[in-house]
Amino acid sequence: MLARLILLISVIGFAFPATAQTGHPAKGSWSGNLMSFSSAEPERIRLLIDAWDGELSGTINPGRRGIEISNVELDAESWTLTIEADTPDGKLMMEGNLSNLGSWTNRKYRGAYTMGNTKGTFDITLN
Amino acid sequence: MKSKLLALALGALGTITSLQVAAHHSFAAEFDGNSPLLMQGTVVKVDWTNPHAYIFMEVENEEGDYEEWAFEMGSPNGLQRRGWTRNTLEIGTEVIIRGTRARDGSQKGNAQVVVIAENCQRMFAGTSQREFDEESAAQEECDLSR
Repeated sequence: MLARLILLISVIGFAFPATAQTGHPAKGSWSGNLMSFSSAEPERIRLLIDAWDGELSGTINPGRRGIEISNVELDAESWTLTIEADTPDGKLMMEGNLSNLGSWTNRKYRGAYTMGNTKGTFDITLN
Repeated sequence: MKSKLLALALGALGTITSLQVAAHHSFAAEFDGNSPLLMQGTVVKVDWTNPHAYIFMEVENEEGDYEEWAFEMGSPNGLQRRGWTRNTLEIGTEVIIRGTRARDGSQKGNAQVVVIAENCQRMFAGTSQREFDEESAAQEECDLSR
């Protein structure tokens, strides 16, 4: 009887933290900077990525001036995340790697981007 | 043997319970009621959790850099009684938050009032600060940034 009680308590105890595991590693609210090769000033960027039934979707700079992401794909072998969107400054293409996947507060998305004629790198962190 | 197992079971229960209540604390232990905060920024995350919900907001500082601030609110139940739902603040919403600063100097505060900048909607954040009077605060101007 007591052994069953201990087992029950253990299961409940592990179940609560497990509820926080919400699945897709790209899902969530991300913030960071685009660092253009032609400008010293970084440009702030925020991403909101959702995952539903294996499909990714998202918004760049969510809010009143949010831009819908036209394509977002994750290569789970290399953890390469590719994002495409049509922005007022031209077509945005971001390609980079997800890292520190075990962290909920310091997960990184780093890589290179082009937006119209602008090229640079980006460094984005999961909020 | 039975008493050892019982002690083990009670110990496990105590550990689990303490994890649940660890985040619950008095206002004065964590926040300084004499250090007011008034900040404007963009919501980047909302944690609709007990015993306190949290808003995480990105704020541009004077140097042009971005900082993330966490604002503690009341419990989800208390917030619902004040008209909130878990979807009231969407990611990307511009908000103005008035509250008080954490004693440890971290980028954390206790929210008293949250204003959605776009439509000036004010909402009380269910602060546990005893000195804060929602009725008198309700008479103040909508736009806290003025």
